[in-house]
Amino acid sequence: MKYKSSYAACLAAIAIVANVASPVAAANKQYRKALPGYVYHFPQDHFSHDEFKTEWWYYTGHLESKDGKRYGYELTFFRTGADNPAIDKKSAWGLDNFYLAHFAVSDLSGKKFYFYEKLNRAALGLAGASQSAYRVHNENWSAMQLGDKYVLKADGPDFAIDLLLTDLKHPVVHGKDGVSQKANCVGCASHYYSMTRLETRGLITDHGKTSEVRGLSWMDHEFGSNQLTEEQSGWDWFSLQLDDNREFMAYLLRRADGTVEKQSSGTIVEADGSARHLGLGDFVVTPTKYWVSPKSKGKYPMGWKLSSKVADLDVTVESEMPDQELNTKRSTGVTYWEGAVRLSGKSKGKAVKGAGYVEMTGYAQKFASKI
Amino acid sequence: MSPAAFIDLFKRFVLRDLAHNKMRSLLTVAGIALGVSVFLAISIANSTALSRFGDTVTKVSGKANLEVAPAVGTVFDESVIRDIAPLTSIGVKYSPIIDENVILLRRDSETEMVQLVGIDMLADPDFKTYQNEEADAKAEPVGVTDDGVAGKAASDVSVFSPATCLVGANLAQRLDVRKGSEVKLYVDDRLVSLTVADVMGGGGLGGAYSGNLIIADIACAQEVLQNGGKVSRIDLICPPDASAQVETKLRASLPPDLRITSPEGRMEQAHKMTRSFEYNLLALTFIALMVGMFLIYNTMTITVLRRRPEIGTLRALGVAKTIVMRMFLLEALLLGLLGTTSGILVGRLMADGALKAVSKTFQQFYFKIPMESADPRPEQYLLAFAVGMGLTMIAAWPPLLEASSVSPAEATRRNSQESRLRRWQWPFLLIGAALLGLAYVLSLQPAISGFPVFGYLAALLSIIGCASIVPFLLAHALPVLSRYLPTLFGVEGRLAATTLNGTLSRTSVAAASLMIGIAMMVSLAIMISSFRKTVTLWIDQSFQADLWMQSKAKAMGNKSGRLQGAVIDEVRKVPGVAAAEGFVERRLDIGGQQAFLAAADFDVLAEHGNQLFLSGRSNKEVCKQLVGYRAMISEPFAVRKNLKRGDSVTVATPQGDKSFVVEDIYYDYASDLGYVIIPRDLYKKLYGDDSVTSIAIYLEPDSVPRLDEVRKAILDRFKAGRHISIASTLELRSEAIRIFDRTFAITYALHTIAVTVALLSVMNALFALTLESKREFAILRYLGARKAQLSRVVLLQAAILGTVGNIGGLGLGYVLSLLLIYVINKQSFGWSVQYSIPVDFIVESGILVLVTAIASGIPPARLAARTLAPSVVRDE
Repeated sequence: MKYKSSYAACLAAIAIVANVASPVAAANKQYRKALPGYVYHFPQDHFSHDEFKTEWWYYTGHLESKDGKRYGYELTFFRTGADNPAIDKKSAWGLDNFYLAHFAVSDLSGKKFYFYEKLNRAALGLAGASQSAYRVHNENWSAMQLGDKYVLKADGPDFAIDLLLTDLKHPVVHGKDGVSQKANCVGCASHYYSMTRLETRGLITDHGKTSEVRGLSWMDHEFGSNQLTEEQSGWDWFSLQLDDNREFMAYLLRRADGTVEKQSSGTIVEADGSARHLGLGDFVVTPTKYWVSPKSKGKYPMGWKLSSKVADLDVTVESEMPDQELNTKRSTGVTYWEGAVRLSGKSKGKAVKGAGYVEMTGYAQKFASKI
Repeated sequence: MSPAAFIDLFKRFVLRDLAHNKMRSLLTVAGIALGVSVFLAISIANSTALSRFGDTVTKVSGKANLEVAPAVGTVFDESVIRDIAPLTSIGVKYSPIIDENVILLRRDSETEMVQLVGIDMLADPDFKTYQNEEADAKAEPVGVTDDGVAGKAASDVSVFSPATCLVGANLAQRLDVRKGSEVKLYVDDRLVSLTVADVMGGGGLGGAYSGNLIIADIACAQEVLQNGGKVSRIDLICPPDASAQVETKLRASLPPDLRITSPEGRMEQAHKMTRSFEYNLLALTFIALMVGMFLIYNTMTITVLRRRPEIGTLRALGVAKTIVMRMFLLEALLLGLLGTTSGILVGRLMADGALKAVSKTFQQFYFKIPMESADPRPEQYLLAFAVGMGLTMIAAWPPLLEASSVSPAEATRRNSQESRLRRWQWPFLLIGAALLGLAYVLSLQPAISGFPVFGYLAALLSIIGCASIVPFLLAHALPVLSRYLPTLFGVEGRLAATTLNGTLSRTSVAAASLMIGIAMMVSLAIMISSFRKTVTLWIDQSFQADLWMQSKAKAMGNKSGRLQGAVIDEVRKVPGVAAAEGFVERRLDIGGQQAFLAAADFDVLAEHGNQLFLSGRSNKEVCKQLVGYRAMISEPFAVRKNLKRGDSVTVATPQGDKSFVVEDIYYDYASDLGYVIIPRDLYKKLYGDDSVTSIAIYLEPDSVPRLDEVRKAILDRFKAGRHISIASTLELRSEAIRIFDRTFAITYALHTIAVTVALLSVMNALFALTLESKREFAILRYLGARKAQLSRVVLLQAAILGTVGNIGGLGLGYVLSLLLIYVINKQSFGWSVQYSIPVDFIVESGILVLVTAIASGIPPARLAARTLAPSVVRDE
């Protein structure tokens, strides 16, 4: 769940690029709210939902090259609708949507972290998200569906990936009745589903050297139009892939008063693809150790004890390396930690290992970036 | 000699004398000060103009180190971004930018030109650093906090709302514009209105164009300019190690009519473009400096001559030659220091005025950048100081040598120097003649990289040459005068002439200074008047159309203000209109130099126009030939590029480089950068541009008297929402002359200063002569001469000097005017100017100079009249 990160990120982006203290324009366009009763259709729901204000496609995964080098990656495409979309466009640059993208590679063998970002509009086909097919791109980064496979492409000066993904299960819809509630108000929600086990093959180019990789990826797709409440100060999001073919997802919305938002929730996906919604009372997350970012001074948890009686799960989660923090000054202006983690413990009473990704926001100072 | 003793001697011998001759010392210091101040003011004005340009380039381009810009025109197709975007994988950042003039309609209904900068507000923050004004005031980084995002009122406008913009602080303040205000802009023939989203602070981009700018998101800028799909530049930030690779890649993939340059390259180009104008302006200031030099030479020479007996006495008392020399050196240094320092102070004060005088010219001909206040650099003060002191020392050197050569025995022989000069008049004459000969040879040499080095050298040699001839002329003219003057002015006439003849060295220097001052004035007057006459004649002959139509924006000074080509057909339909000819011009980058590419309807021009060609061929004959890849080029362009009829000129087009045969060269005084004019039908095909900059309208012969009616009929036709402007040829001509006079205003100012300095030198010389003649005057008084007679002698001397200076000045001025018109101007700007002497002006100013020269004799005449007989004769 990256609701707030993305939503706030997009707003912040607009604010920053507009570079005026009052970036929120009179919202002329009314966007559709995420309300209960939404019925998913695939592959259509992979496509862009331009009637909703914000939307993102999030890929994270672990890769291993033939020569044994290990990598984590994150590739995210965001879309946020303009408040005042250009009506009679005489310029290609007329704004309908802002398109943002983040690409991060954690070199787990070399213990180094790299990230790149993009911010564009649809002009000249520089960025876009199709409403009639699953094809999202930002300059030469893209995510698309070809037949029953998914193809990811991204590159930066140091790293490039070309990946082919195969969904080993079906998309899992989070929340209840088609909505993932974020706060206790009508429409304070999103439509949120994941592809939790994507077999991954492809190529990674590490400083000019291209090698074959294999691994496992996770995809999140979320869209909605609402505002989070102001009391929410940050969140922790977990996506864990266990080697007994189960997956676990949870998000904890932290409130400024130190409590956790009651709407925080999770999902456990069984080996057969069946999923179960977990309420806040159904699982417990306890941080075990911390790391202070030298760049942002944010103090992040680096290890957790995670247990759920309902899911019959009791594991220890540890970050693969501490510094996986993104300071996205160009596109979102938000500093967050999104990194590869590993886990071990017990699942359904049996010893289990696994890997995953954790996202944490709101630990660094308020996102007051400047240009 | 101990330092203390030297200082003591210096005080007694030099300082006391300077103090005693307060007036002369003051005049000398003033002369140097004037020269230095003019030099400094102009050099500050020049460099400010360029540094303002550079400043704006830097602020607009931010951290960009490479840029893609069109070779022809000001905008190009944005689709090339598709070729650039993939470079982001190697770390390149790019941002399209629109950088265009627009005309702002102020609330008081006046218009002014401002810059509209359209940027991709989503571009990497490395490109643009700017802040809104409140943030500046609080000195906080602009940031957005959670509260900032969520807590703002929903009624605020953002730069992403349609038709909104940011306004530079300077502009906002002047126009009292704030958040939510409206600004109205003339673009082409439209009036567009934008809402102000915010006012920018002065840092970064907000400080470009001195804060006189409007910034909008690129989408809005394209809407405003109605040039969807076009951008002015694409700025790139390349990783330093990749920039060569990127450049090569871009060159291979971008269309041929795009240039890949850098912000520095653009500044360099601006420097090249304005070089001729700047250097020539600076060269003019050397006139004032040179006259100042003569003044110091004059003063020092007279001092040394006057004090020969004293120097002789000092020498006889055992003071070493070097000490004598050192004392006079110190005197020169002192005068130079006083003059230079006060010149620098005054120059700094004059710089703003000088900038004001030249900025319009820069804006008219080269680049539209606001230039409010002068921006001096420390090294300019240093240079002015070095120039002032250096020239003082050079000018003082001959008298210094003279002083050191006085032998002890000379103490008693007062006029030995005079007899020496009398002997030397022949060698001086020969030297003078040789210098003039050399000047002639130099004047035939070509320019060095567009700058007439030899022309200026020839001018300098002519001045020195003529000055060297002065002693000879005086030595032969004064005896003649002393014979004939008595018949007119009685005994005073004889006395005046013989005294002058007796002090030939002093007289020569004074006459020469005046001659130079007058020559400068005369030559500049001839040049300006010839130029003005040529331009007027040219307008009369080649501007045959009755009416000239252009967009409101163009009429208000925006060179890229256009009209749609279809307007021409509309105009043709108006009763009374015989023909309408479209003309379009664009900026042209040709071999790294700026010029203009234009296109005209030659078929209409052939029938109705009257372009004047260097070949002497008729307008019709040439225009009929101008079909296909043939062009006519303006004279300045031909001179700059060294092109002749039949040569070819290559111009970048979206379809690659195209060669045009030069059909003929036409006289043009509209721009020193030069024009290449090609047939408009071909231009339309090559550049896909149907718009025009102006339309020349020719009326039916019987409609010409009803000119205003036809004009109204045309205006009525375009009433609805179109903002156009139609001028008659008469109005156009007076506008052209107004611009001309404005351009030369600074030159007028400079020559007035030269004459002022020259007159100072006459007064200076007369003072010296009067002091020198104290004993003679005393004797005359003793013999019964009345006070009035004595002052009349001095005034007559002034008149003689004034006349000689005038005559010499006319001669030298003639020579200099030839150099200015046929060598310096031609080589600098490429203009053919028809020689014409402004007789009225020269006669009038000659009389004025004479009167002023005589008037300058009044203070010394008073001094002479005050001479008391007994006090001086007692010395004898």
